[in-house]
Parts: sequence; C-alpha cells; structure tokens
Amino acid sequence: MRKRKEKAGEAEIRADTGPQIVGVVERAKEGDRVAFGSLVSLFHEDIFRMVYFRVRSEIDAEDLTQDIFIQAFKGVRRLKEADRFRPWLFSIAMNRVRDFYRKRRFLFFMGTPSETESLKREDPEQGGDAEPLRNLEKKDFWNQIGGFLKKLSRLEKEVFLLRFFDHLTLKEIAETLGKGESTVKTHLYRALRKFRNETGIRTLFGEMQ
Amino acid sequence: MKEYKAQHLSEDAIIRVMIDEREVARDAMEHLARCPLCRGEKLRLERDLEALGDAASRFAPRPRKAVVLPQGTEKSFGWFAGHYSWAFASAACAVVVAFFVGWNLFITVPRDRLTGIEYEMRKDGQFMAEVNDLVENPLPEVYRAIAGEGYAEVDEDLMNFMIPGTGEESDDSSSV
Repeated sequence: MRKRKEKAGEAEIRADTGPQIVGVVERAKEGDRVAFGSLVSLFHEDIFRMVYFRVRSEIDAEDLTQDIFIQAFKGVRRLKEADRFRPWLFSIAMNRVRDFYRKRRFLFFMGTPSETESLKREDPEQGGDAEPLRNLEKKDFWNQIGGFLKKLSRLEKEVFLLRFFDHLTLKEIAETLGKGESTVKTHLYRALRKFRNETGIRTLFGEMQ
Repeated sequence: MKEYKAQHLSEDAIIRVMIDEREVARDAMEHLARCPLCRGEKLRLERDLEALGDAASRFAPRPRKAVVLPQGTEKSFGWFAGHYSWAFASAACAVVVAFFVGWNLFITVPRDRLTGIEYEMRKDGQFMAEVNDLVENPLPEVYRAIAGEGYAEVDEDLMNFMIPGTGEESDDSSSV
C-alpha cells in the first residue's frame, strides 16, 4: 500500500514536472551533461515502457529508447519551455516509434531478408521457461490488449495508451500528439466506450484484482 | 426522510465524468455525489482502467541497458543539427533544380536568343518603315482625304511654271 502511495506521488511529481525538474531541464539546456543524466534516470523506465507497449520487443525497445534519449540530448537546447519537458520527450518517442514502423513496413515491402529477420527478433523473456505460468499470463494479457487495441482507430489507440498505460494528463497528451485538448477528450471518450463494451478484457482484470 | 429519486447517470455520462468533471452538467455531478450506485459504477470503471495500466507495467520488462550519451557536447550546426535527412533531401532537390535551370540556360536558351534577335530586327524594320511613312505623310489617313494630299500629284509643268528653273540643269543634261 505504501509502495503504491509512493508510486502515485512519484507519478504526480512527474505529471506536474515540478520546479525541481524545471531547474534540471534548464541546466541540461545549458549543456550540463550531469543534469541531462538525471533526466535520463528519471524518465528512462517510462520511455522504455512506452516504447515496449507499442513495439512489443524488448530488444527493439532498448534500441529505440537509446535513440530517443540521444535525440533529446541533441535537441534539448531547442526546447522552449522547460516545464514541458515530459510531453516533449514523449513526442520524440512517438515519432521514433512511428519511424520504426515505417522502416519495418518499407523493409517488409522490399523483402530484405536479413533486415526483416532482425526485426522479427524474439524477446529473451518470451522464449524462456524460468516462469512458465507468468509467461503464459503475460502472453494472454498482451493478446487480449492487442485484440482490443485493434478495434480502436490510430488516434483513439494513442490517446488511450498515453492516458492509461503511460499515465499522462490530458494536457500532456494534447502536447505530445500536437492536437487540441478537446480532440484528445473526444478520442478518449470513444476509446472508453469501446473499452466499456469489452466484457472479456474487463473480466480478466476483475480476476487479476 | 425524503427518498432520492433522481434519474441515474447513463454509462456515457459516467465516462464523461471520468474524462473531465468540469464538462459535465451540475445536476449530473450533484446526482453522482448523492447516488452510491452511480458512484460505484464510476469507481468500477476507474479500477478496471487502473488495473489495466498496472498489469501493463507489470508485464512489461524493465530496461536492462543503460542509456549511453554521446561524448562531448553537440556540435552546433544551427538548424541543420538533427535535420540531416531534411538537409540531404533539400540538397538533392537543389541539384535537380540546378540541373534543369542549367539545361534551359545552355541548351534551349541560345536557340531562343537567336529567334529573339530575329524578332527584334523585324520589329526595328517595321518601326523604321512607320517612321519613313510619317516623314512622307505626317497626317493620319483620315485627314489626308480632307487635306487633299492623297490626290495631289506633282505636275511637272505647273512646278516649272511656279518655280522656274535656272536653265543649268537642261544645259547639263544636254551636254551629257
């Protein structure tokens, strides 16, 4: 319970991007590597998870996370408002994931065997038999989620994932996607209506709780 | 005790409350504050979504590799920093445009230039012809009829009568 409270508190600090983060971002903007390093350690897990939710490959998520932080490191000077660091970082991640899928589609279309094979790399965890029950549970979970997300439009899916998986506020989602807040609300409303009708997935989570 | 009989919130209204309470009608919010059934429904949906997020985080692996930042600070290339692909595409476009411009300048334009010179010479000729016409007959066509100049023919006898010759011309001609 306490751990959960701490987690919630941390999420609040992150969502608000409090003054301490603004200070760190300002220092990073001035070229302070140590300050940027603290930002990396603060957001590393969030960004990795965000990418993993979308590419479902641990290896690709690792590579993309590395690229995202390098891009952020190179571009942090151009960030105008330090308090918007979090949505800015997520927008870089969104674009990087989009590029990844574009590249994958292109390679699939071109039929380059070596590249396509490398893109089909399996996660080490998925093939392992250290915890077979957990792996089965995990596989079932992602299958259910995948099935549900397929029913959503691209923007509904993005808004839903950013809100409930990545825990961004509506304002942050709007900034990340470069859309208006009312547009975000409309797509979230549509996604939630579809989620409400997903009895299978809701039963699964009911059992988990 | 007065029994509370207001209409329950629809599922859509509950979703709207979850998204943004400020955009929901005041009556609906008052109902939600008093109705345990609607509150329970909202709470159930919130818990499902929270569980979904928690499960996603639980079933996602943790990053194994640390992020390695590039050595040294970023070299300043102004706008081009981080826009290499765009810069490359722009350069390629510039090369294509330069090729077509060059092609037009060195291959097609000389031919055009020749025709242009010919055209200019023709225009000059026409202009000079008009100037000569004006020297001969400065009046416009319409006024020439009125002035009678159009029909005026030079009568040599009349001219000799009006302006008698000196006799030298005839002498010269006879001598030749």
